[in-house]
Amino acid sequence: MTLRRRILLYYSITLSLSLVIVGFWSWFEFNEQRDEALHGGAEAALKHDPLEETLEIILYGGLAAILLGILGGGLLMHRALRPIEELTEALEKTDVSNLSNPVPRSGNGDELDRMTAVFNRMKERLGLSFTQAREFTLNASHELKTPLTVIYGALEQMATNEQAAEVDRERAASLLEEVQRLSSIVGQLSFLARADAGLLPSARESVALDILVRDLAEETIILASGAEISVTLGECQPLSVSGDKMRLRQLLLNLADNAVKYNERGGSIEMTLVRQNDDAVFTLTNTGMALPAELRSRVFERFFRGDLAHNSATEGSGLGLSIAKSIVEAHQGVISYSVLPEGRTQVVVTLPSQR
Amino acid sequence: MVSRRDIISAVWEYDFDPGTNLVDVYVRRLRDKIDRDFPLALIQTVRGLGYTLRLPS
Repeated sequence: MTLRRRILLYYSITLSLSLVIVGFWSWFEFNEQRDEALHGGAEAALKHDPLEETLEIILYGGLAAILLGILGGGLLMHRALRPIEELTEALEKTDVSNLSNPVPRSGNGDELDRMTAVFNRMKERLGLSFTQAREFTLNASHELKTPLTVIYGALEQMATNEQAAEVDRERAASLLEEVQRLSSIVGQLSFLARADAGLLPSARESVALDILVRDLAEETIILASGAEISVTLGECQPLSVSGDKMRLRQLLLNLADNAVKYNERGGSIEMTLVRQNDDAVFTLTNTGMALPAELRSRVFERFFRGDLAHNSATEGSGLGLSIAKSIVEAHQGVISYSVLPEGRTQVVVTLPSQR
Repeated sequence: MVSRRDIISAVWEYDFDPGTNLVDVYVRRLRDKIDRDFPLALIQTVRGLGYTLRLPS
């Protein structure tokens, strides 16, 4: 039965019932009065004012009807709204990961059941297009790899051909550099597509994060030496996480590389690794132009590069932080980007640590 | 001749392209140690391909 019909029926019944009660009551009262008048004369009849009697009936009968209406209506609305609440909760919990699980239906064919069905169909279509987009990126990046390898091989031959003119070899070499850049972007896209599809081959071994951070600090010193950036490793507590060592190294190097690239001459980079409750918290703070506030939330988006990066000659595809984020999430961690009050940029990675 | 990728996988054992200048910086340091005090530079950059160690032609 539809909800509208249920409410309509309930109120018709309540109203009819109260009408019947009032009717019977009046009939009974007036009968009684008439009897009294017949037996006791006008004196007795005057004892009961008809108007007063009528008001009394309307008051009590009406009150009962109102009470019944409020209680019953409340109960009915509560029962009608509960599925809406359940649906809202299900909607709130919906994200990319659970698009294929439909919301359970009541099956009674009312408006809300139909709404749930519509919502489930929408979810299904959304899930389908997500899968398609994901598979498209995965296939596209895979399909691009082979021709790129072929082009690379051909250019390599041209670049090393002793018989070729110097100018041709130069041209081939410059094309080789571009092909390498392209391969690197394709590789990164393929990495992200595999991460999205949950296909990242990730080992689950115990990784000593503090050793990785110490190695990273040394590499960062090397990377930053050209720009006179000082690198300091603050507190570095011995902490282990469960995960893939290679991916964690990639994550740390990505972050450090960003901290060097978007830094300024004579700037600084600071790293710390500390335990916080049951988490390993890696913090990387660096000087350099901070992103404008309105762009900060977009920093992990794919191909996002702040305006400052577009203007400068800084290399990079704008995929580094997206990759960092997907590695962190594959390790059940959280990554955040913020700008400290004094203008330094801070990236914090929180990973569940092992005892 | 060795490519940047060869160096990355042989020295750091990375299976990914770190996208950094690590290799360039290390080669520069290597040049400082090997070639700086001599008239002939042995470490040569082959543009687009990598590095090689040979007598300049």
